Amino acid sequence: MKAPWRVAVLLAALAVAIVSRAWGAAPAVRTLENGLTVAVLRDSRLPIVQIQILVPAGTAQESDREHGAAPLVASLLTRGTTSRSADGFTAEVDDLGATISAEAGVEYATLGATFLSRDF
Amino acid sequence: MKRIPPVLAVASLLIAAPVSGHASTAATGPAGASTAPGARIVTLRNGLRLLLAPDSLATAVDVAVWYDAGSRHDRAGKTGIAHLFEHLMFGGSSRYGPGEHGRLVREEGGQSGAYAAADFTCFYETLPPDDLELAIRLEADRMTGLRITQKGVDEERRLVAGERARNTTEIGRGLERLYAMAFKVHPYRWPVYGLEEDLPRLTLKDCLDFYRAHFGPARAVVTIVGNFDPDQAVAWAKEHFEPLKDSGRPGPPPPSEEPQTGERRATAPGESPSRILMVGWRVPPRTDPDWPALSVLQALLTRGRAARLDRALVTDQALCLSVQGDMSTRKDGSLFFLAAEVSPRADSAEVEARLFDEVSRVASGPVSAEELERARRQVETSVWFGLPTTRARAQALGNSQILTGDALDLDRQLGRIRTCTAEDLRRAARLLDPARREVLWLMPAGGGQGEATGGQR
Repeated sequence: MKAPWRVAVLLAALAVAIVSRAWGAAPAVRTLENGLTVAVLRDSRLPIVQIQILVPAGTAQESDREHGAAPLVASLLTRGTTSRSADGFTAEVDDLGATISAEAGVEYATLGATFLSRDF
Repeated sequence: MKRIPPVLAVASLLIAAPVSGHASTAATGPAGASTAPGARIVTLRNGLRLLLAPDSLATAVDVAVWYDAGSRHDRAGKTGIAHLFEHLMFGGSSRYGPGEHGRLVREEGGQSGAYAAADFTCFYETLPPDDLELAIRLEADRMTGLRITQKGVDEERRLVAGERARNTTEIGRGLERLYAMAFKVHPYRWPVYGLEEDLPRLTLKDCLDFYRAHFGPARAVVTIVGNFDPDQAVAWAKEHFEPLKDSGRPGPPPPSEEPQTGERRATAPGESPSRILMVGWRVPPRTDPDWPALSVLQALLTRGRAARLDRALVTDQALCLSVQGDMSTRKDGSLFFLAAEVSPRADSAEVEARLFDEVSRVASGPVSAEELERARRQVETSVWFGLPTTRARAQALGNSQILTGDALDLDRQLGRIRTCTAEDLRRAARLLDPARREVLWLMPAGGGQGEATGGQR
């Protein structure tokens, strides 16, 4: 994982939010002290929140000796942490009725979550 | 242009998030959110209902016409006509040539499509907001002005012939079989595509008669969803739709089914590379008070890793590779179904027994508060997560209107789902009576056990 200042977090109140920029609803963009860039777009049409975390850890960042590392690491992002087991994590997401996804693209690895606003 | 396979068009709240409706915010819980805020109905003088759901943040406008023309209107020996007609509607009119409709929409950067379902046929355009009038003009044109020729019918018949084979999955074809087992007199017993042997029997006269009877303004609904000015939309709708005359005469309603009094079983060899157990129950339509609890029950059994059937058949014991299910919802009844893909070495009888045991355990056993809340949330989020686009919202709104007669129905269903109790679930589970179930085994060719050998039956 790269330094946090190269990580961008997109918060959107729902999926269509990103599209609605075309119609003038501009996102608020801030850079936190640790370098993390956060873009927030408010859209109250549906009572859900979507978060996307983009990390510059796509297949283009793999060295010659790391082929396959980007999707492998991305897939591990939903398999638990030092404080949560993989099963515990899945169960918590299930309990919320939320969805979590992680995948590696060419430029970025993307971690996404969608859940109800009342759980934000 | 996009054609959606009919099988996908039958899915329920859980998979397709199909429902809709604006309602008073009181019905919609703490956030006060509505699935179609501000929606309203305007009825034109010829009876055409406009269902308007403006959304100033949307980037597109979606116009969809919902005709009271589905496979529920099929007759024995002439099945599949609604689906054939979905194709004929692109054949041109006195004003537009064949395929021109789709081209005009594409030239504006829009998309158009159509699909036939059991209860309706839907035609839609999703366009930049400036092109609303084009969509209204095109749909008004083919509502009564379609040109139907022998050549066109013959051509479309050829195209339709291979479509079912291309577009259906094992589970989709299994679902067709379950419908045929559960419905003995109602046209729901036939696939939306119709029976293959009936296709050559559909004549030009059948098509003309079907068009006159089922198209036209009086029983159609037009949904307009997205970025538009409602007053302007109504003005254009009046200009283009209101002069149209209706020639339709609704036929008698389809016959009702007798209550089922015993389990029905069937085996379909050669339908799947591995054994798939499918079980279905004919349950009430979406207008029934038990319907929301049935949705929650489906989630309790099959949604997420902690769902009861996933635990019993996939996680705790490796009896099955996967379990899924849904409620296929139609106007005159729903089909609650489960599908389990059996592990190569597992015993078929044991899988059946465990599955039925889990279903009856809901009817008579406890449901914890946590489990109930999880299932309710699974249904609720599947609705909200399914509405990200203008097209999806139009789909939900129209579905609501067609299936329940109430454009505001989805908001009401969400309210009932949030307040569904363990007792509601038990009552719903009792509808899944062993004497009323259809049990279908999709089997590998030659009656084997699947990709590995050594299992026993």
